[in-house]
Amino acid sequence: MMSNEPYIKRKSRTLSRFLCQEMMYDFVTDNLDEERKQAMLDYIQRSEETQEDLEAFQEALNYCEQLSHLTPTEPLIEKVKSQSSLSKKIINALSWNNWPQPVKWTLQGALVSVLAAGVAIFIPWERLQIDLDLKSKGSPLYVAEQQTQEIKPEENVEPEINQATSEPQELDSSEAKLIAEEPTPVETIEPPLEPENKQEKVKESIVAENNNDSEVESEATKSRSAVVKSNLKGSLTRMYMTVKDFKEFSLVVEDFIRSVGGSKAGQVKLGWEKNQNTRYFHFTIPEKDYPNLMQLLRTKADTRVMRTPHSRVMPEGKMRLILEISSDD
Amino acid sequence: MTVDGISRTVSNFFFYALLDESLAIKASAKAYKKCMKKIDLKNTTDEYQAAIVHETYKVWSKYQKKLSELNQNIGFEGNWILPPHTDMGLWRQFLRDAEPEEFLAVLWSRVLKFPDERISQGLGVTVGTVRHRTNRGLKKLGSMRVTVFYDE
Repeated sequence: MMSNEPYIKRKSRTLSRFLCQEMMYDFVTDNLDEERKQAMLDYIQRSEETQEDLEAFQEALNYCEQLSHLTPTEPLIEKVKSQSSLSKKIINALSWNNWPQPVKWTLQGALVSVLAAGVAIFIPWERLQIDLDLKSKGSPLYVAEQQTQEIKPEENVEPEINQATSEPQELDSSEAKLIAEEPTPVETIEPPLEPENKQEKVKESIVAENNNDSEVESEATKSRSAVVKSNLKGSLTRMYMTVKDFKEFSLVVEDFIRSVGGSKAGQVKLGWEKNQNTRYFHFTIPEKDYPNLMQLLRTKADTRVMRTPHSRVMPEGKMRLILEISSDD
Repeated sequence: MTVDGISRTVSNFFFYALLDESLAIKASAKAYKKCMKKIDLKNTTDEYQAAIVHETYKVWSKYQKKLSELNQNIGFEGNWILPPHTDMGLWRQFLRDAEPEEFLAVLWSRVLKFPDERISQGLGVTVGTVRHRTNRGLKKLGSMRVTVFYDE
């Protein structure tokens, strides 16, 4: 009678911590044979380190179990299913919201730059500034006193028209009177006069301005500006002051002009009696003596100074001025 | 498994595999489209799972390169509802430190609850290899968790 014992006796399979670790997954998922399983149990009971390994393993399994309860939202599921078509992919790619942040920032920055450049380049800032300056109380600009004869044809100024004409030519009515009251002898002008037709146009525009028509004034300003830009290479300084003893002071001014080597620049004499209460000086002096002249005038009374471009160009080192001293009475 | 079930499974896989919602949505859509081409809805769920493993693995391989270029901050936008009190930092650490094969084996096997046989069929490896990878992955994950406990 044959026995049931095996022909070859197997050696007992001893476990180690390493082997237990390798078989841990099979152990917890019940995939070991009974003998191995019992050996594992025995070893775990004897070894504290293996017990810790088993606890850590169980914790990892519990953690995965927790993660398995993740729930995607219904919109997400629909989105995943609907994104499969190529056209929708293209639409999705073109959608602004799906673009990367750096690309969005770059495009926004570029757009702002282009807009700013367009505004700076295409808006006529010079014309806007001219209109604004003209509209400020309807009076001509008062250019700040300058030490040098810096020509600024772009400023909103009017040219000095031939003083021999009796037609008014200033921006406001008071200035028009002044020029209209110029003496009748024709003043010889050193540079060649600008063409008659251009002067006629400018005169017409200035006449229209004297009617205080703002629209015409702006148009005249534009036409004058165009003329100014092309013809005005010299400058003329106008000064106005009001003093009590204007007669005596006029003599002082006349002496000063002569002392520095100045002379009349027009037909009328220095200190010409424009009217009962006004003395008129149209003269040239060396530029270097201009500050001294201003000091003389300002120590006496406030002086308004206006420098305008002019077609008449003075020799280098000399400047042309018109001074009107009026009575305080 | 229904069509929604396939979409849900694929989405969850990429959520855990990429940890970036916008990337996960794109990858899910791509993998879902490929799965639907291969899967015959008349077949059993078991056969779906092998195809899902295969296609998700292929898409994941391409996106893993993008993932390595990112700083791997978790991008949550609310498209998935996480279980309460879930420590995603631990999972992110596991994603970063574990071997890719072990990580994926744990994900398919213990999180998505795919049978080992389907995983082996989808990857083209033996069941023993899948279990070995799963074992090592869980051991790694367990050691991280213990470390966290000790730090607490």
